[in-house]
Amino acid sequence: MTEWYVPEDRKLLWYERDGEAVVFNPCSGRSHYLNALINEMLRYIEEAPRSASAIHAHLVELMDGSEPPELASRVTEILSSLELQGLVDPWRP
Amino acid sequence: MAAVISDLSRKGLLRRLGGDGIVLDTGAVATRIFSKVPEVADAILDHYGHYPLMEDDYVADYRLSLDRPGGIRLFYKRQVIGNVGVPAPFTPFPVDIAPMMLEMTMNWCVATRSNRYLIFHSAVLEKDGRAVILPGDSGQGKSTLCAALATSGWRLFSDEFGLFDLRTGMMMPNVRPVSLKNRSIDIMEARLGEGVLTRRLHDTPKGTVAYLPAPADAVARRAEQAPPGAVIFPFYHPEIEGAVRAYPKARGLISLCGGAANYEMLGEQAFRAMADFVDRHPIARIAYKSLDNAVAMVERIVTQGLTDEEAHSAQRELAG
Repeated sequence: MTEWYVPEDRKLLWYERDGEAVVFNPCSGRSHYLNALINEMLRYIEEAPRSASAIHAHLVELMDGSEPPELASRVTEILSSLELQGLVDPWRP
Repeated sequence: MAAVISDLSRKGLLRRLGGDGIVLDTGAVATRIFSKVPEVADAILDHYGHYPLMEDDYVADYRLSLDRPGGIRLFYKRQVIGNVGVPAPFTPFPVDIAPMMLEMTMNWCVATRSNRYLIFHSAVLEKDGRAVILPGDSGQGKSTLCAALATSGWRLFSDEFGLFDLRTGMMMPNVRPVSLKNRSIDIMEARLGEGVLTRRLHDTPKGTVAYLPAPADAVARRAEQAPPGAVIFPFYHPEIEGAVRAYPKARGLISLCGGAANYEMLGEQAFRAMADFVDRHPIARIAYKSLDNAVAMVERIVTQGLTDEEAHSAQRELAG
């Protein structure tokens, strides 16, 4: 199963306020705005490599078990966009 | 009394422009300008005639020339183009709108070469020792509000680029004319009367353009820096009279980053400075239809900060 992780060389810098964040990627020199959902996902991935299903389960838990419609597909989309922006890499065993 | 540029005759100015050039000291930067085009001399007299006449050997930050383009263009139309010594994204303009080419070329130098500063795409003005930064894209009302403030007791720092010194945390003046476009010209002419703005330049890439020359006091005090007091994103709205909202901090930060010309070049240093900047100063958005009201809102935010209700508007936005 594919896991997602933040490579060591990224060393992301964070500015977090009120659940939202701006993250600076020193490798690209670019900054990215993260809404509360994406912020939580990237923080969770930064702690340790995570699969999409683990991320999904974590988010559902944070939402007290009430899963918004299409959350699973949203997680997949967000992971793709984070990869595209060079913030996370996939690890495919 | 110190000599100013308009002490030179048109012919004398042209001679200088065609020789060693003439230096425009606008505060944080000084630009040496060369040209053999009479319309460029006219533009300098209109925009910078009240600026000090610097010594010939004054050390400038940038050198630029405004001349007629070469090749076949030389034969069929009188045009002018800015040259900054390296390839720059300019196409020739008719000489009738040489003033715009002058300002655009100077802007290009600031935007691409002033990397000792963090460059906000914003207007900046100062009052009572505090600078207000007004970021905004074209069409949001930034320059119109800038012109209104600059003629209502605020000291003009810049209409186009806010220069933030990363070492000292101070805003640096770069005092230049305020560029007004299309409907803004009528609005400001109705406010200030005729003869205050420069002549209208028609059929430019931005429509009709006219300039408000920098007020004399702003020119005289162009070396006086000021600490930032607030960041306000102005937004002209024909149906909203005077709404103020705090900007959620992370959104304010990313908006400022996106509008900083050299943010990616300065990298981590700029991110840290900008994050600190956002934490230490009120960041707000204002919607306005009356300039008088907008001026009053800016004044109140900078001197008194946001009301509790306005500050909580950011929380409501995040919750909503």
